[in-house]
Amino acid sequence: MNPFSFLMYDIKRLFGHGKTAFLAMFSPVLILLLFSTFLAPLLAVGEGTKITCAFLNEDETDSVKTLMDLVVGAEIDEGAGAVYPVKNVATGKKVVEDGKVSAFFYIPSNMYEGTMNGEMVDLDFYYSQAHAFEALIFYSTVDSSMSVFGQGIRMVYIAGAIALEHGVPKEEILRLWNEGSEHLFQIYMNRGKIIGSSGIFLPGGDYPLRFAVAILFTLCSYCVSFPIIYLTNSDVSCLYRKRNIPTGKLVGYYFARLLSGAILVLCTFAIMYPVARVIRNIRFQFALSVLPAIILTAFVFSALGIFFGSVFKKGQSSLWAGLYFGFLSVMSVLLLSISPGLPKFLSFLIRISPFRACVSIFSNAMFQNMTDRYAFDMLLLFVAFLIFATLGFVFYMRRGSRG
Amino acid sequence: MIEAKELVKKYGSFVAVNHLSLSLNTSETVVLLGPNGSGKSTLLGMLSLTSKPDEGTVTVDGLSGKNAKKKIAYAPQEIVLFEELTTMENLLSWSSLKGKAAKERAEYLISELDMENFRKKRVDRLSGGQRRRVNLAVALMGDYDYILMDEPLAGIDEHGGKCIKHLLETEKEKGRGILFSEHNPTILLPLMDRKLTIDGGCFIS
Repeated sequence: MNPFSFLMYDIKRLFGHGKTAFLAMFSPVLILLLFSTFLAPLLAVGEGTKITCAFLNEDETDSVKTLMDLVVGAEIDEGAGAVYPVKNVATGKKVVEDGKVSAFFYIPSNMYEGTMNGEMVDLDFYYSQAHAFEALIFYSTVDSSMSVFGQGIRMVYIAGAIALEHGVPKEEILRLWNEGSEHLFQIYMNRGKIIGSSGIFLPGGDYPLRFAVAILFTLCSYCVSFPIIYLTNSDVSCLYRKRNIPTGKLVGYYFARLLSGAILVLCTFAIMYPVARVIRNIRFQFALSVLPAIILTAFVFSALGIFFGSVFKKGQSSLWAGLYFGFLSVMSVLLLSISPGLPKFLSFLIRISPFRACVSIFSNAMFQNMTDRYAFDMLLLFVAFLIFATLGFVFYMRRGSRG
Repeated sequence: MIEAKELVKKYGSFVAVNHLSLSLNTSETVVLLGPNGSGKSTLLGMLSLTSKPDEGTVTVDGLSGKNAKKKIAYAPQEIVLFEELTTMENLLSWSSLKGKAAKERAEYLISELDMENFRKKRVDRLSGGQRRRVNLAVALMGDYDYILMDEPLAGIDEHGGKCIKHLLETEKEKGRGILFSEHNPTILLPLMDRKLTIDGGCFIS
């Protein structure tokens, strides 16, 4: 039998369980659609639903004005929000209470000065319970922006003072100041790179909703590996052991399963793409740019499926192990995002997990394409693939040929 | 010649096969008889090299391990097939033959075992007897010297039994040694050269 026949037969077997394959591939769509329906007011960006917010900025400083224009302007440009300026705090509070806007955001007059002096500046934020989630999204956007801005400006300010002490001409400092501020704004606009008070923000950590979507995508695509686990366990623990399978043929079966498993996961990705497009208006070219990462992820999950299917004697044990591994991995990524102060070793383990890389790739693909992060995630996934494919191969061969 | 010496197989404290020795020559047909739980399947498993004995050795024409395995076709009692594939696909995917040789062998077995009307049917949609025939055909999809079968007639109707008998006659004429276990081997009796009866893990005749 030639390698192509090996592959075709295995694809037929994997997809042959009609209901299983259907559930594996389409349940993610159902979950995601339910998810997006539940959060429709937030997810249907640009579809007419907007986060409405009243806004009062009493800080007349140019830098603050520029920043607010960028922050608020970006949200409005994206169609994500509508911002209404108000004349005073009382009016802002009233429009929230009347339900005319979701939230009211107030920047006091001492914001810039306080930030420059390294003081804690309170930014007031009011919202109605009915619009708590929209308010959270708007708040997280402005809060993270202010955090970056405050720290960035302060660093530039300190650098300027040091330069002045060392006799650098004022004109040169001003030129550097302008360049620095410009650069800062550009960094802000590249949201994934935001540096907040707790260090570099985790992928999507500053945008919980978008991060949640990326996690859901990862979990759904991982769940597709369950038919792979099931079928692999049935093959190596039952079928192959009862017949004399030559080693060469067993190798052929292994690679056929690896490929067909990856194809099954890829099919799920293909099905999920339209859902992602509904949630976030992803351009086709943009989705294509992360295709290598998607393919690699599919191979990692396929290798994981074979590994779990081969390592345990009983099918139930394999499925439970796969389920726990997936659940714990996703939980750990969540934990990492909400608890920056994890023990170093644990934090390191989570950071190198293929799940985190996969979440990162999805959030990257959906929201911002950054080459350096992409390259790191690709490297992680490749290493994870090598490890799980090798382990899976060893167990597959051992269990499949053991008499 | 398949030669087994002092084979022992234990499951916990239960001794399924107790110091059994036997040999099977080419062109010879041996029937293994015995009640349920007597150790027939365990013995066949060890002779076919799909399970390892706790004690004793099995050699095939003086060979052991992978080289010995290649010389044996083994049809287990359980149905061991890819349920999602058709009869023809099963024959080809399990086969140790390649290309044209595999296809020719598959066609021959389909004809001999009268599987023409379900060659394109998925195995999980076949009847018990049909599946049993496919199970046997899959075992014979190779180039081997010995055929071991664990209750090949279980669930097979008279017509199916005759097909199997005819096929085994041809295989015997080709010089292949045949060993099978069976409760009621009436149809296959004309093929029999020797009979071994096992009970409690020991030969009693």
